[in-house]
Amino acid sequence: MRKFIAVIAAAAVILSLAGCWDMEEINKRVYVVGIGIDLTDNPGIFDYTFESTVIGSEVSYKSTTVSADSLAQAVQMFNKSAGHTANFEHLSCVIIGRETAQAGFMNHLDFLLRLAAVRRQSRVAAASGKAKELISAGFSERGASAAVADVLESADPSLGGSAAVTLQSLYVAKQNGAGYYLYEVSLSPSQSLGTVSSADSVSSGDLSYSFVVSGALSFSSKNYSGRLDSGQTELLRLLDGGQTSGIIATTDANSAVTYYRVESSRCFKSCEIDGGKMTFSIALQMECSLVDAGGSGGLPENYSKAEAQIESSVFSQMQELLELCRLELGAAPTGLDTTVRQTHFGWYSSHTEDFEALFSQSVIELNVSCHLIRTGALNA
Amino acid sequence: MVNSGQTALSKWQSFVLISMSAMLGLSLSYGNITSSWLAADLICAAVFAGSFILILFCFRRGNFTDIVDAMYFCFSKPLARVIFALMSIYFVTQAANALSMQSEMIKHFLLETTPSWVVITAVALTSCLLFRLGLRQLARTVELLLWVVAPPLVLLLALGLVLMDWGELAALFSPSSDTLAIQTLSCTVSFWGFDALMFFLGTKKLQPKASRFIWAAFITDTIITIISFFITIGMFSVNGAVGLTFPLAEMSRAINIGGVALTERFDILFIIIRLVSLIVRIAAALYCSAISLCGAFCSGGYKKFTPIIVPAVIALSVISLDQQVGQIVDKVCFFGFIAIMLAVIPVSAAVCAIRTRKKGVSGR
Repeated sequence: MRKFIAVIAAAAVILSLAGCWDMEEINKRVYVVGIGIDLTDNPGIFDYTFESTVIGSEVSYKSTTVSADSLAQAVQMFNKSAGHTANFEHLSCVIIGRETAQAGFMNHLDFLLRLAAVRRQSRVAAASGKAKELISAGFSERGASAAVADVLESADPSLGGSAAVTLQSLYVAKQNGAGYYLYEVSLSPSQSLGTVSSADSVSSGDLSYSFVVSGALSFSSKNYSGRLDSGQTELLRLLDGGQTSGIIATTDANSAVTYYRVESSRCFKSCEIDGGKMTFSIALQMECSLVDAGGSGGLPENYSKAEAQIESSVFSQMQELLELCRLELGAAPTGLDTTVRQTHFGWYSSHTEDFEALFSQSVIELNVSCHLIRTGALNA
Repeated sequence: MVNSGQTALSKWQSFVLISMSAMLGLSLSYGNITSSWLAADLICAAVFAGSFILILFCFRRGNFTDIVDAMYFCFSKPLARVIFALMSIYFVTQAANALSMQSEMIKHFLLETTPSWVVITAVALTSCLLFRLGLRQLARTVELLLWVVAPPLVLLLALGLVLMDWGELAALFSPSSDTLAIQTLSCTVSFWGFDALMFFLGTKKLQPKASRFIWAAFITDTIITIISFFITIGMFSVNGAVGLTFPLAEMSRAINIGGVALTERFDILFIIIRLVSLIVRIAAALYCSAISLCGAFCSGGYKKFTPIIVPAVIALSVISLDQQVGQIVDKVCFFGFIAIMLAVIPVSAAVCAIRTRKKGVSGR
């Protein structure tokens, strides 16, 4: 035992001595928690906004914008202006201005992926306008970037899993030659049903603002393919499975609107390929509850009728959205490209280049089923 | 069966020693990653299990006291000495390769500004300390170290299994025949370290009937390798994992509970686990190299080779940080491992079988 303790002690001393080499005190570090990327009027030059912590008696946040032709150069310039080396270990979010995103942004992220210190779960989002404005405007207790990350996290039902748009998921999409999508975040003075909101809110005068997911930008493997509005984005999340916050509105024959909350959902996707033609089957299972507030008019007669109304409503909306994706936006928002890659890896590998064209000719079969939680509000 | 002067390793000690010598299945690399990896790894496991059967058979049949005894019985003296000399070089190269790869990983993920040679020297000296204690003390220390690394390893793998995308694994169950052969060769890397087994066998070293625990170590490490690979694929997909320099560390880096706000740096946990198993692996490689030198020079007292072996490992590790040297070191390790597992062991077993059949064990 003495020898064992001696070995452990020696190892601890030797290894910690190695770790102390060239160390830097915490107050000499600048922690970057968010990065914004925007196009400028000069071609090839971008505005990089760094949101960093200011460690004093209380932690506060400040944003610094530098113009450079690459993120690597911007970091060098930022280091020079800050007087210390930027540390990216606490990077929460990368926000890309909408125009920049539409023009292509993946090369900016390569630099971050090369840095081991950058967490792979850092969220990536698009701003509805300029990223700089979003970062600079939204000062909350945790900083704008963390607040945006929170909004995206609350929009992610998979505990940091496949549904989140992160540096890692974008890396995987890139390596597989697949498309991808970004949530679009904006500052909103009010919240509407069906949007995701954050607990972090900011005030400006009499108005209270909060970050909301206002849509999504879709990309094929090569370029920007289109935008989804907030309702479509919310609906799309049903395809990820585990949806827990969406609101579904149904209208009956008398134009009476009833609102239901999606308590949980599961989505099963499969694909069959016959003669190069893909046929997808999507089975969507939802568990919903009746929302008391917001309804106008009478409630459905019974639970079965209500369930049928929900199924019909979601089916028609989803069908429309799937058609939009099939013909215009590409497979990425639906996750069907991942389904093909996982189930027909060899085929997908040999058709990566022309996958989007083949996807536009595919057949998508949708099946929606709903269970409404019995609370006694409707007839059994 | 047990040498009067020394206590044989217990069954549990033989399990932990062999398991940790192969770095608990957390291999340094997966080789080239393709959709054929799983099939290739299982083929490798079957082939090397065959080598295990042969070496266990050889020692049981010959009732050898240790590897030197076995080699001198199976081969002519000059040939045995040449084989030992080559094996000593091989084990030094193995240790150097593991050390340089690990130091690069530590530099990448943990100690970005610390020079690699500092990390290499620190780990090598710690391993040297363990190696100097002797095989039995090494086994006892490893026994305790296993309890240090096992809980975080279980935690890491369990979290990985929960968070990974299981759908990505489907690609591994449709191997491509075009890549299977090359993949099988590159998969051998995940079994490096098991070759030390032949240095732990012998009536002086292991308790009788320890073979079940040796098999348990082999199977445990193989399962851990497959699980960790599954998690890496589940996190990054097959094509995504191809582009990663340190797939296991990246896998641990990707594990994150509760988004960006909670626990996230599991790569540090992984590096600590790997560091501990690396120290054991280097110590085992130093031991194997020293015993080989004893065999080559027909001398007792393997510890006297410490001043040669340890600086050689450190120097070679530092040199192999250079990409071209690193590739040569990789090739030496690859061919050395293949030669031991698929040539030295089968030939030894065959010769042992023939000679003991003619003379009987007592004929020795």
